Order: sequence, then structure tokens, then C-alpha cells
Amino acid sequence: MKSTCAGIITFFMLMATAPLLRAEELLQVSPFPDGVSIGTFYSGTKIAISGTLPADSDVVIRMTGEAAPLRMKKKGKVFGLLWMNRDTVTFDSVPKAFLLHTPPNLEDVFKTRQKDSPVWQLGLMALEEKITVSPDPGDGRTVVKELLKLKEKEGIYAVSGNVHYAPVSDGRKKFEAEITIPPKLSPGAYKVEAFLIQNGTIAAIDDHSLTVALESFPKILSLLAFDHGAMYGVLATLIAVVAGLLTGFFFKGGKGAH
Amino acid sequence: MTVPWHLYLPIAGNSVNILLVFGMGGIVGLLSGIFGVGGGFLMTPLLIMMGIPPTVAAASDSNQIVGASTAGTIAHFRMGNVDIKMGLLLLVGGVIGGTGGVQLIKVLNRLGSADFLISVTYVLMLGFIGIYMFQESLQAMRTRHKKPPASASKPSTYARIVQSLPGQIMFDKSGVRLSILMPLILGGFVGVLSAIMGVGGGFIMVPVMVYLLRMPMHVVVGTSLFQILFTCVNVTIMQAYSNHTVDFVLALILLLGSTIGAQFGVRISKKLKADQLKILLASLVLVVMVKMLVDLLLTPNILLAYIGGH
Repeated sequence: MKSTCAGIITFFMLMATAPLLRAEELLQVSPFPDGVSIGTFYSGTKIAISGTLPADSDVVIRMTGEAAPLRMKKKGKVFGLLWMNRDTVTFDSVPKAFLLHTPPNLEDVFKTRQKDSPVWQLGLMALEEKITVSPDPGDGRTVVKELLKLKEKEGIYAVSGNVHYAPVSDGRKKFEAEITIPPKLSPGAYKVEAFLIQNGTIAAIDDHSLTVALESFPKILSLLAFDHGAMYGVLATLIAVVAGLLTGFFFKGGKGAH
Repeated sequence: MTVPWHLYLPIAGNSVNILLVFGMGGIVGLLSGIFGVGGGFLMTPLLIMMGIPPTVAAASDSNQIVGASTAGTIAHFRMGNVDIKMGLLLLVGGVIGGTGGVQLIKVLNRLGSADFLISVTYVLMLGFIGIYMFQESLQAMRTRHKKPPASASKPSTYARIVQSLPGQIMFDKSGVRLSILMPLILGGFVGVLSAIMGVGGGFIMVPVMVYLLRMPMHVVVGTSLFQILFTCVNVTIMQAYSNHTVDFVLALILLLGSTIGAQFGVRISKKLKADQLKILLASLVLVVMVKMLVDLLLTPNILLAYIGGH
């Protein structure tokens, strides 16, 4: 009796994991770097992602950062004339980054509101729906739209149709995409996900972690400036004085700008 | 186009093109050399336009001025153009004012209004100084023979108030008798502006010394530089400690660019007439002012701002 029960349980467990195992076989992502170092001459970077998938499928790549509440100032007019920062608003769950890469044929899916489409749920418009604001600014979703506009301007939120496919062979095709990491992306933990799309649904997910960290000179400078502010200030002053003395010496004691 | 050489600034949280920053320092230094005034009031707005957060731009500019005014102070001291007594009193006022200004920025940063205050102060100061200089140079061009700035030509109400203040002492180097309170209060005023605007305050301090403290011109420049050097040392350390907004790498590149630019500027200035120079400088000041004013008046592209400068 016991062995019959164990056999049934094992059968159902195998049945439950079968679609997942099948999905992993369907979408294969080649290894890519799991870290980005911000060194002295860093000005953003690119991460190439490639892999294979069934010929009749699509892949969408998404890089996101940890979501956290974000307090910001809404701009408003003072004296009905000058624009300045006024009311504070808090967005409940704002990812540090949101970079979505789609094949060109799927770009339109993310441009129109399709709440019941699982693929659309991966995009920026769906994120806009998910972020809540307190206190309620009473202007609909305008303030969230402004937030996304700001993030897009900074380059840390973006949607681009740069997933490209190579010719089909043996019922499979190769995909290639390049994630552009903007220089403004702050250090921290990020997630890179590849979504396999079949018949308008998400058939498989392959996710990887990615760490963005300061290194060498920027790391030392950041530690000094943020953890030892007074010492950093004195050092910055001394270096400027020495530089001033040296330039004065080389340029025969210029009268200096002030 | 691929930009050739970038540098990551962890304090500003962004990367900048070294050549662009160096070139900007050079242009400001060139103008500084041509017109014989400081470039601080131009440097901060230009850094903001480049995408550096305003609070980091202002604090790093103060750091740059420390270097720029060091060489100048020594050169003037050797020539005997520094009124140490006056400079020290202005300095005490400047340190108190600068410290207060940094604390004010800290509070306003929390409230999210620091950037607004920096912009409004710039518009007001640049507008006032630009218009004043423009008018003065126009008059000078018309009359051709410009009179020296009012040096006790008539006992005005201002002069009577100044003379009635307690603690009158003689400043031998400047040849004036004043209340000890005058340089303290005026130094404090410039110190507050210096912390808010991230400038040495030279373009405010020079008119203050000439018109309000009635000091002779040759002592004004040296004493102003002496006072500004120490005011900016204080502002830099305070900003680094309280607000973590000083980027000394940015300051060093600007300093190098401005020093080299200033050398060329001095040569160009020798070929131009004084009044033409003044009109050009006034126009430049007014252009910067109008740009900042337009930014305050026009609806921003994005109606949200970060709290704390960046």
C-alpha cells in the first residue's frame, strides 16, 4: 500500500515539474557576465545576451533593480509665476532600473494598454499601473507618468526593440540582444530575466542576478566622501591649495579667479 | 559619435567627459582672464547645464575656487596688496555666514527647495550686477572720463550711519576708519551667498569693498582673494561634512582648465578697451541670468524632482 502511495506521489511530482523542465529546454540562455564594475573611466557599458529558442517563439529580456519606496517633490508654481518643488509624494515600489528589450515584432504590444495580455504585463505601462502614490495627488496617473518620464530621460528605464534573431536551423533560432547600462545606474543588485513567449503567453523564464559595484578609485572616493566627510573635506581643500600653489608656480603667480 | 574620454564621478553619481569639463574650465578661465573678475558665477550654472546636480556643482565649484584663489592671494600678498586686518574680520563674518549658508542648504535639501534657492539667488544677483555694470559702462563710454567710485564725496545718510556704529578702528592698509561690525556683517552676507551659490563671492565682495567699505581699488582685489580663499576652505569642508556634495576630482579638472584659460584671457584683455570689456562682461552676466530666469518661468519638462539634490 505504502509503495503504491509513494509511486502515485512521485508520478504527480514528475507531472508538476514536467512543464518547467520542458520550458528550460525550450529557452537556452548562454552565460553572460554577472557583474558590472564602475571604475575610474566608466561611462556605462553594454551586456550582450544570446541564446536559442524554438523557431515559432519570441524572447523578451528585462533587467530590473530592487524596488523601493521613493519620496519626491512635485513641482508647482509659487506666486503663480515661478516653478519650484512643492508637495512631497511617495511612490510605493519603484525599481532602481527597468530596461526592457523586445524583438521588433513585439514592440507594438507594449505601446497599447492590454491589461489581460501576460506579455503586456512585462512592460513599462504595466509598471505604471502597479506603482501607487501617497498622498493621493488627485491627478490620476499623471504623477506616475512623470516619474517614468524622468527615469526614461535618465536612461535607467527604457524599452527597445533590439532583440534580433539569427536564421532558423533544426526548428530553433538564435537570439541576440544588447543591454545598455547607463552611467547613471547606481551600484546595487539587479535581475536579468529572459521570457519565452509562445502564443501570447509566457512559456518559460530564465533569470540571472547582476551586481553593479563601485571599484578602485570611485570606491575609495565614495567611502571617503560618505563615511569620512570631514576628512574628505580637509583633503579636498589641501589638494586644491597644493594645486593652486603649483599652478601659481608654473604660471608665475597668476592672479587667480574668484 | 563616441565620446573619447570619460571619468566617473561617484559623488555626482554620473560620468562626465573629461575634455568637456576641462574645456569648460578653460572657457570660464579665459573669460575670467579677459574681464579680470572671477568665473565662479559662470562655472556653477554651466556645471548644472552639463547635468551635474546643482548642490554638487555649487560645492565642487567652492573647492575649485580654493585652488584658484591660493595662487592669487600669494601673488598679491607679495605686492603688499592685502589688508590682513580687514581680511580677517571679513573672514570671521564669512565663516559664520558660510556655516549658516551650508546649514540652510542642508535644511532646504531635506525640504527639496535647495535647487530653487540656488537658482533664484543667481537670478537676483546676476540681474543686479549685470544691469549695474551695463549702466556704469554705458555712462563711462559716453563721458569717456570715468570718475573713481564714490569715495566720501559727500556725507550721505549711509556714511553717517556707518560713522555712528560702535567699535570704530583704523584700517591702515586701506586708509579707512570703520566700525568693526561693518566687515563682520558684510563678510557674513557674502559668506551666506557663497555657500548658497558655490562661488567665492568675489563679484559681490569687490563692489562691497569699493562702495560700502570704501577701500582703495589696489587693496580690494588682494584682500578679496585673501578672504575668499578662507571662506571657500570653510564652505568646502562644511559641504563635504554635512552634505557630501564636494567632488574634488571635478574641482581639480576645472581648476586646471581655468588656470590655463586665464593665461590666454589676460593676453586677450590687453588688446581690448576697458569699457568694451565691461559691456561684454555685463552682457554675458545678463545672458546667464536670462537663461536661469527662463528656466524658472517656463513649465518644466518633468514635474517631479528628487529630494536632496540628486
